[in-house]
Amino acid sequence: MNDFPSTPYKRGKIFAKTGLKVGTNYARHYLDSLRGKPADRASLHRNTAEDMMKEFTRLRGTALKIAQAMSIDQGMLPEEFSRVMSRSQHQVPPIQRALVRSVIRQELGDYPEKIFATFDTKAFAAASIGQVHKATLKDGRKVAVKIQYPGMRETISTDLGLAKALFKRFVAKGSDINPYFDEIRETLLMETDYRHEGETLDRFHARYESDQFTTPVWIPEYSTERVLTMSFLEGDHADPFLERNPTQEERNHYGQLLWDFFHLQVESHAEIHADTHPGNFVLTDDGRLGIIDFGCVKTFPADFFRDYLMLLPTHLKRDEEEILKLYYRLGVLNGDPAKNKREKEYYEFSMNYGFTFAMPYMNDTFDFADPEFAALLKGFTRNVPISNEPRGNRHFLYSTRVHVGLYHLLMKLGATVNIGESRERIERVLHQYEEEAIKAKS
Amino acid sequence: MDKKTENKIKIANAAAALYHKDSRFTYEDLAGEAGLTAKTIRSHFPNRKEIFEFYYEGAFLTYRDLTEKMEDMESYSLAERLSHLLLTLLDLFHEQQGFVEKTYVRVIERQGSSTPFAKHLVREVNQILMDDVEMLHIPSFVYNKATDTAILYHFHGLMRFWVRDHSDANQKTMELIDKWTALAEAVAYSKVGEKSFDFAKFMATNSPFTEVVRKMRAGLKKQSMNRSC
Ligand SMILES: Nc1ncnc2c1ncn2[C@@H]1O[C@H](COP(=O)(O)OP(=O)(O)O)[C@@H](O)[C@H]1O
Repeated sequence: MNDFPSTPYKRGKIFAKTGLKVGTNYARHYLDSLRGKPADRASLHRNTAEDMMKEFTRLRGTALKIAQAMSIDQGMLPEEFSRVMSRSQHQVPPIQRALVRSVIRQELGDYPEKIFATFDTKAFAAASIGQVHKATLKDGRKVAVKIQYPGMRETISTDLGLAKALFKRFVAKGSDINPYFDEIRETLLMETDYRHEGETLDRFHARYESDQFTTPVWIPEYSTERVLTMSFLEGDHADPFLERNPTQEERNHYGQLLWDFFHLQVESHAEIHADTHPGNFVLTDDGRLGIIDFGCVKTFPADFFRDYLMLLPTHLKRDEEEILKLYYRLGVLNGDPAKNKREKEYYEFSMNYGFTFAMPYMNDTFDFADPEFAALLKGFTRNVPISNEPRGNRHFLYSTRVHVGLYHLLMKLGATVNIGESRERIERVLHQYEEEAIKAKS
Repeated sequence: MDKKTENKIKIANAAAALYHKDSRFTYEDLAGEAGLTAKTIRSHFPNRKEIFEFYYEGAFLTYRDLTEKMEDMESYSLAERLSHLLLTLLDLFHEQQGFVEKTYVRVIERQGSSTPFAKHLVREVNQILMDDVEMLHIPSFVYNKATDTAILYHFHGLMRFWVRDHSDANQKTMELIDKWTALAEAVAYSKVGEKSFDFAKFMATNSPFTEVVRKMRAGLKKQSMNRSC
């Protein structure tokens, strides 16, 4: 078992520690299995994940983002990891108040009490690379002020190097994780420029603000690269919403809005809000879906996106010929499943997963509360045959993240969703792609 | 803050801004810059050296004034209070960065603990430490001239770091202060202080090196006597 060497690891200090602990845990597991003692894989993973998470949280936002991106899809990490990792969101240490004041002064020119009519020095929410404060502008508008921890850009670069060293120990020997890390680096560095996020806010506001959706208004006069001021979105996140014991009708309403928002973005095929987790959505008092956090917005390359969307209908039809082509193009398969046992394993797994994934699109409505569906999806993440070899086009990282995130949110809400319109939207997009392809050929 | 102090700070700030442009400005130049008469300025500051020294004291007084107006200061942790002191001073220095870069070493650092600024700073840090109930771990008589000197050295070190910090918006200095004060808090809240004292006391009387240390001390004394003549 030389995947997990027993000699101390000498790179970054935090990682050295984790690396070592992970090594010994696995060594124990390996010993147990040699002795014929049934080792509990799940609990092993949990222990390892807890160790890793502890070290990770010290790296604040960077690690969090990596964990988020890596854990949901790809089967790169077992489910135990993703569960523990998502908890880490709440454990990022807060920026202390004296520092908040000085950051505001450096960025906006004066201390918060001079700039704002009111400013809560205690943050009300943690952000991945900073935190969010409630404030009121002098003209009375209620705002959310997102403040970035100083030195984040450089920290991210250092952390990524360290994280990569750690991840290399988890994934199978010889697999190439560089493209995934490049993708994450690019996204993360973009996320450190809050002006970029402000501009994105502007575009989404223009596109989606309606009687169904609402997004924060960017306030550029009070924003810089490291401070983002925007209107405050009042409303309930999924958890407090569910605590109120909402009626099925209310659940469906919330769920439908989420579903529709995703498919509207797909149809616009301009940009997609790529961070589908409960913290980024609220249901407002007037029944609209409020969308928060535009730091991570993706524009997928047309080739990839077409292939990705094509996975849905082809799986529903079980059109294996077409599916094979897509798998090759998307890098899911590296060889012929008829000839290679490992590829066959991948193929069968992906086919079944793909089918389950496409299931909601089969009929006119879909009940995300269906326990069988939840069990199926869970089964796939739990029983990945291939748990430590990253595969697939790097854009999968975020496309799956949005999509799986959406399913999880809908399952959490227990919503039944009308599908008809969204199917048409996807068909229209695919049709457009086809026409463009024909045009390009002629 | 009284009117007189306010005026003095205004003059010192104007002087700092002028100094950055032309270090040999006259009282008349300064009067123009500050919007006061040269006579008034002279009544506050008989010579330029005093103006420069007061610039630093003024920064401290401004810090104190700001802090008194803050309502939530009571609930600040030790690390937050220390950070607040350091960050606020640097925020103020940032406004006259050119002047501070050129004069800090000469006007403050080389003067040891004799300047009003150094005295205020040391007193304030001690105050912050003593105010903290958790600090009872460290017996108060441990505080002495040595800790005061250590406080000043740390601050000079911070100033040197800040002058060399070319990161965008001095982010690196902010990080340093944040990490340093968090560490200071952790050390203060742990029993490290108490245990070190215990240990030092024991070693002072029982160490096989006591003799060596005595000799070293004697040597040091001679050296410093030599220097003073
Ligand atoms: N405009 C806003 N209105 C209300 N709450 C907000 C707003 N912006 C952020 N928040 C709160 O702050 C949390 C973190 O903000 P977010 O933008 O998601 O940070 P990041 O993406 O950097 O992690 C959100 O989950 C939400 O609870």
